[in-house]
Formats: sequence, structure tokens, C-alpha cells
Amino acid sequence: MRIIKFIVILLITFGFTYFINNPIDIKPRAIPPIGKLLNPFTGFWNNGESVNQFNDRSYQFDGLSGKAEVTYDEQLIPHIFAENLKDAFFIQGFITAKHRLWQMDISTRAASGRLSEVMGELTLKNDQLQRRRGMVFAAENALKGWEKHPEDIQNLNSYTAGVNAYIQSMKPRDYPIEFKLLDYKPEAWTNLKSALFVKSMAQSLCMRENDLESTNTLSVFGQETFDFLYPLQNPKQSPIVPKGTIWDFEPLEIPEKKPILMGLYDHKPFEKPAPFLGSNNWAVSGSKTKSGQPILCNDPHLAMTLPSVWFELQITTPGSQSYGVSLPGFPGITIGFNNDVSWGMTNVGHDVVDYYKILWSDQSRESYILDDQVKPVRLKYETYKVKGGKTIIDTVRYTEWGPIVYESPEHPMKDLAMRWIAHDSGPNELNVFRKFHAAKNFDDYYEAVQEFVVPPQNVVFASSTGDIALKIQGKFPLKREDQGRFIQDGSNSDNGWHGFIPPNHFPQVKNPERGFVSSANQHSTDSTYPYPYHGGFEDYRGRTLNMLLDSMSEITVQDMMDLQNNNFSSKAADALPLMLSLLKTPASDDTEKKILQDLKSWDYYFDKEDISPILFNYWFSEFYNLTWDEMQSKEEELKLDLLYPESWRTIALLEEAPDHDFFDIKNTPAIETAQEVVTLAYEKALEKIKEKLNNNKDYNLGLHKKTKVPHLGRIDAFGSKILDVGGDATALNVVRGNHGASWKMIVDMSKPVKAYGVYPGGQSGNPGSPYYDNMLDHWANGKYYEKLFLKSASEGGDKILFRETFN
Amino acid sequence: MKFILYTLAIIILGYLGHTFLPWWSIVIVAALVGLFTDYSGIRAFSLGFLGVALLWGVYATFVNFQNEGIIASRLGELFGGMSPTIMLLITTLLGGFLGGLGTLTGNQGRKLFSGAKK
Repeated sequence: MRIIKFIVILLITFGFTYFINNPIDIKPRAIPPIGKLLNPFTGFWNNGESVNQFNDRSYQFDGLSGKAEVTYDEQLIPHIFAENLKDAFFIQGFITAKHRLWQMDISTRAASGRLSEVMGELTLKNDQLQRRRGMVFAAENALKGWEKHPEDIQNLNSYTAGVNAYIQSMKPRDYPIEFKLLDYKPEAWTNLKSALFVKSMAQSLCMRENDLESTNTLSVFGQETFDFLYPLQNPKQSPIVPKGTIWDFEPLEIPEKKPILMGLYDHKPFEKPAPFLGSNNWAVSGSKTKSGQPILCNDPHLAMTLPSVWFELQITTPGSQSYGVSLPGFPGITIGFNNDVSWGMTNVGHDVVDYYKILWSDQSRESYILDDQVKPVRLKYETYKVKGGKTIIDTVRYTEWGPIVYESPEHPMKDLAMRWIAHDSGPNELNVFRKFHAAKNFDDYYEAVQEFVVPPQNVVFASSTGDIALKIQGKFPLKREDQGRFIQDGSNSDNGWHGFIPPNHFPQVKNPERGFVSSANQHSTDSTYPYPYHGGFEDYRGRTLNMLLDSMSEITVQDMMDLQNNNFSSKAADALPLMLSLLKTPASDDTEKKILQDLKSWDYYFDKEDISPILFNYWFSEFYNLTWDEMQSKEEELKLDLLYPESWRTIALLEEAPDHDFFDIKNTPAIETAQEVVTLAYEKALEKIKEKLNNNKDYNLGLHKKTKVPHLGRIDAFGSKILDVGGDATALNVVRGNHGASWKMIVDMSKPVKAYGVYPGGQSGNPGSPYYDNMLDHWANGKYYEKLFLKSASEGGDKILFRETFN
Repeated sequence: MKFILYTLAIIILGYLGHTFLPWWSIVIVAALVGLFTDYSGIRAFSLGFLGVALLWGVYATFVNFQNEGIIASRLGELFGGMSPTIMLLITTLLGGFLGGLGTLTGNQGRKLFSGAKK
């Protein structure tokens, strides 16, 4: 009897303990192991950091060649003081891992297509896409290039060793909370992961191409309509390099234009980066500032997340000290300043991704025809160890162009290979930020950016000696006119790139007469630039920026802060007067009259207190959809994707051709003109806004936008609260959905240099730390922190929270 | 008196276990202490329950106080909108239940070999 009782109790005890030590597999997401998670010694409680108690610490590592010290300031920003850069990078790796390990792990997993190992089947499709795009292939090639540079690879080795030193020092109780929730262990960092990180940035910034949709649209509507709807240059555009710049170089010969390969492709195009994913940077020369010294500003716009996109730090080595933001996973400071120079980045929209139709030599798709020769494909087997499921293996086919990214078993002759600049080996991105750290003047900056290739960036510069400059930097294929705008014939190598544009032919500006340099993802040049290029370019912010900078003088830091937070929309200023002038049927009742009156007197600023910007956006989008109804019906009829005209072109048509056939709504018997379409769109928009006002008479843009900074792993409880902010995709203060300024920086190049900055989040990646989101309110309110730029580890006084020493 | 000593033993040994061993060592600690007891089943269970509930509850309360409830609110939200206090309560009860099971198992094991009358 007793034995049975004992056995029953033992089994219950054992069974229950086992049960709560393991995840419960409920689709789609497993429930984390309750016992592991709830026990206060190794579970989630252990991620609850003390909010006000900080202790000095010391560490000992064999990987360091000298002594080093780190002081943390009030925003938990580390100031590293090391005897050499190699040691500094070790420490950067160590402390970045300490604060951001899960972010580093998950972002490189996402890049390399290994998410489903920890997230399960949910993310398998995404993983397969990443593998097919050859992300690991790209990273391996990058690493091969880096390994040819001993000094830089040693620095990267040191960073990796620093990350791993932290990982090895951890006990399960120290794991970031997300590891505990998803029930997996951190794995070792590698140099390849740093390369993957760079390639994943390239992926989110380079993929602004429409080859597939453009080819379909051209084939459906014909050349004449295509040229009419999709001109490459917006005449209103204010390019990065001022209009009328003389090109003082002898351009290489441009290959002759070739006929375009027509065809209809029903592949589902890859998800594009959001069109408003953009950034601003500029520098004003001393002639325009109150202090007489240049001021440099940069606000890169990325998908905002918690843990935050950037990790802020100061790096000090004998003779050099620099400060700024770094990417968790890559050594050095990406955007920042030192005592003599400052630098910043925005994305360049040039198309560096092309697609080639593959001519298979037979059904097996194991060889293809190129220049009348049969070439074998290289087969790469990709293995997916899906968590809580089976292991899946599939095949990616590599051609000389690149991997086959679009394939359909039914129409193998429409399989497309991707030629992407990021797959190439060669550049040494590592030395760019090493050189910036020690840069003293314009020449150093010019040399530092030379190897910055992928993703292409507009690199802005200012020095304390008074120089300002901006260089469009990358690796740009030499293309014939319209080459790579459409899908090309992959059976002829002459359709490939004909070399690259020489770096000294890249568009650039130094100390222009107008007293400022600027970029906001718009066109690099006007149409006189000798090399053909196309891509995705912004049409409104650049114009606003240049217009406002032109009008400013005696500029102060506060003026620059105001400019970064400016809500003016050139799009609204272009479109609204036209739309209002065409609007028939004035409002009937008092509410409607008031709404229209407000809209008429609106100043085109997307301020959070206003309602008119909501109405404008509703109205414009209804008008846009009604205008391009033929696109939508063709898409449905042919079951494929088309290219929609850009908004600036739609506005231009409204002005130039209000009677054009495109304004006719095809499913009505009547022939509509722009006037009817604008009016009908207004009625629809008005209904929407009235409904919002009925529910809440104080409805406004801030409430409407529901701006949130979500968690990187989409765990709602780890995301931010809803922020009350204004802004728009077309305003300098780009805030839309979860996109926005992921870092705002202003550097006054006075002596000593003074800098201000803020980002939407905090230094810690731990949702249990007060430093996870402590800068969020400042960011939302358009406020900045003055940066502590320390000369020595003993400085800082009561602004220092704690110190760490390394031996 | 003995009951208090056993409780203290669970707390101290349990804390050591949590410092050096996997989290579930607490069940083994409770079972080991349970081996020394000749209590009735209910009393044995209560002993482990009290010991581990105290250890987990007090420790979690201390962490929560230092952390001003940040992590507990986040996790509470994740678990469907529970407050830090509820999270503390659940933690305490779970610890108590595990401890109770542990001491009960030890206690029954002792009875198996001691031959003591019920």
C-alpha cells in the first residue's frame, strides 16, 4: 500500500516538475516553460534590474592587450577608454552583448533565415525567402573580402571575442528575457554574423526596385503610356547635388540602349521597404550659423523597434576620441563625431538589384543557356531545423547572375535570377569606421568613405576647420539607359553590368556657395549627370529641406532641432490647392462647412493637434485610388502586380491634364474628369472624418496615428505605449506607423564640439530595465540630450552612474 | 520548534541550490528535508509549501521592490493583464506547491523504509 502511495506521489512530483520545466506546444506559438520562467532565481524576475543601485565592477580578460575603463553616464551610455582600438572593440563587443544580446541574436537569425529554429513554423516562409536571396552567400563573400585586411580583421576578431567573453560569463539566470520566453540558449558570436548584420542593413535599404511590376506594366500599357506615367525625373525635384553643377570629369562610354524584353510575370513581388523609410542629413557652413562654425545634422529613419536600433557610445583611444551611435553587431561608430569632424548617413535610392530571366536547357533546371553555351547551376541545399517540427531541406539554384529568387514550377521559363551588388566580395566596410574614429579633416573623410559600398549612402561631413561636404557613396553599376528597370534576358551576358562608375565620378558637393549640403533620399542629381540611373527616390522632403535651409541665416542649434521636427509637407502644399480648386458641391451642414473651412486655412503642417492633415491624407488616398482604378482592375483581371504611378506624377497630371482618360472611373457609364474624381473622393473622405469626429469630437492627428515603437520580436507587452506625435511620411519629421527617426543628432562643430541627440528607446535591451525606453518621451516631445563627451575616465562627476575596469 | 528548523533548512539549502544548481533543485531540497520528517502527509506538505513559498515570495518581492515593478508589469501584461502583485502571488503559490510536493515525497519515502506506524 505504502509503496503504491509513495510511487503515486513521486510520479506526481516528478511529472509536475517536468511539465513546468518544458514548453507546452500549442500552435502557433508554444507556451514557455512556466517553472523555468516564474521561479524568481533563474526566471523572469531575475531580469528585473534595480532601478537606482549601480555597482562598480572589474573584469579580467586574456583578450585584452592593455588596461581599459568604461564609465556609464546618466542615460547608461558607455564611455570607453582603451589603450588601442583593438581593445576598444573588444569592450564594445562585450558591453553591446551585455545590453543587446537577444537583439544581436535574433537580427542575425532573421537575416540568415534561421528564425524558425527558435520561433517554429510561423517564420519558415520568411526563412526560405532569406535563404533564396543568398544572404549567407553575401555575408560569406563580404567576410572573404575583409579577411584580406589583417588590421581590420584583427579588430573584428577582437569585437567577436568581446561578445563571446560576455556570452561565456553568463549563467542561465542572466539570459535576456526573450531567450527565456522562447526557451533557447544564446550561441557563440562569429565574424560571419557581423557580416550578416551589414547585409541585412543592405537588404532593408537596397530593395527599392520594381523590375517585375514595371515589366508587367510596360507590357500591358505599352511604351507611350509607360513613359507618360513613369518619367524618371520630377521637374519640381531639388536634387542633392545642386541643379546646374558642372561635371568636371570625362565620363566612361555608356553602352547603347537595347530593346526591352516584354513579358507578364505573375510572381508575387517581394515585400518592399516602406516608401517612407527615409532619412535626412545636412550640414550648414559657418557663414550661415550664429557661432560661425558648421553644424551637422542627421536623422536616419528606420523601422523603429525596442530594443532600439542603435547603441550609443564613446570610444577613446590615445590621440582619438569619437562619439555616436553603433549598430549592435558591428564594431565602431556608424554615425557620430570626434573633436575635429562629424559625419552622418542617409540612404541612396539607386537601383543596385536587377533580375534576369533564365533560359533553362531542360526540365531538370540543373543547367541553363548563357551565350549559346550550356552552364550548370550550382545547387545549394538549405536545411531548416524547425523548432517543434521536422527538418526541411530545399534547394537554391545559383547561376552566374546570382541565385534564382523567383521560381514557379508551372512556368519554369519565367524563373528569375537576382543580380545584387551586396553579393559581391571586395569592399572593406570595416576600415570605414576605424578611419572615421581618427579622421581630422576633409581629406581623411574622403579617404574613409572610399570603401563604403553597400548599402549606398549619402555621407555628410563637417569639420571644425569650416569644411562641409556630402558624397554619394556606394558601388554603382555602369548601365545603359533603362537597364535594370525591367526584367532582362539572362541568356546573353551583354545584358549584364558593364563595369562600374569610377568613384571620382560619383556626385559630390564640397563647400557650395549656398552654404549648406543636404540630402533626404531624393534624386542625387538633375538630368545632366552623364550616367543613367534610376531607383526609388523621395519627392517632398528634399524640397522642403532645401527651401528652408536656403531661407535661414544666423542658425542656432535650436533652429536645427526645430528643422528636424518640422511637420511641413510639400506634398500637401502641391496637391491641396489643386484639389480644392477642382472641388464641386460645397459642404452642406455646419459641421461639414467647418471641416472644409479648416482644411482651406490649413498651413500644410502635420501637427498632432490638427484634424485637417487626416482629412487631407484620406482625401488624397481616395483620389489616388479612384484615379488609378484601371491599374487595380487590370491586376485583378490578369492576376499579377503592376506598378502604380508615384504621387508626385498624379499631382502633376491633376495640374497638367485634368481631362485625361485615366481620371475616368472605368466601372461607371459616365466619363469622369479630374473634377468628378476629386469631388467623389472628397465625399468619401468627409464621411470617414465625420465618423471619427462622431466618436470623439476632439479627434486629432496624434490620436489618429497611434504611433508605437513595437518590440523586435512582436511581443506586444514589450512594445511602447502609444505616443502622441505629429509628422508624416512627406514631412522632415517622418513619423508613420512604426517608422520614424531612429536617431536624431545635431553636432555643433565649435571648439570644443557640442552635440545633442536622442533616439526612441533606451540603451538597455532588457524590458525589465528603466533604461529600456527612458529616452522615448524626450524623443516624442522633440527634445534632445546634450551629449557628454569625456576627455578622460575620471571626468563626468555626478553624471557618472558607475564604472567598469578591464584588465 | 522542529517545524521552524525544517522550514529554515529548506530556505537556506534551497537558496544555495538556486545559486549553484538548476532551478528545479528546490524540489530535491524539499524532498531531502522531507526525508527527515515523520509528519502526517498534510503537515509534511505544509512544511515544504511554507518554506519554498517564503523563499520564492520574499525573494521575488525584494526583486520587484528594487525594480519598481517594471518586469512584473511587462510579464503580467504578456500573461493577459495581470498586476505585479498577482504575479508575485502566482510565483509564491507555485513555489509553495512545488515545495509541498517535494517534502511530501520525501516524507512518504521515509515512511517506506522506517517502518513507522501510521
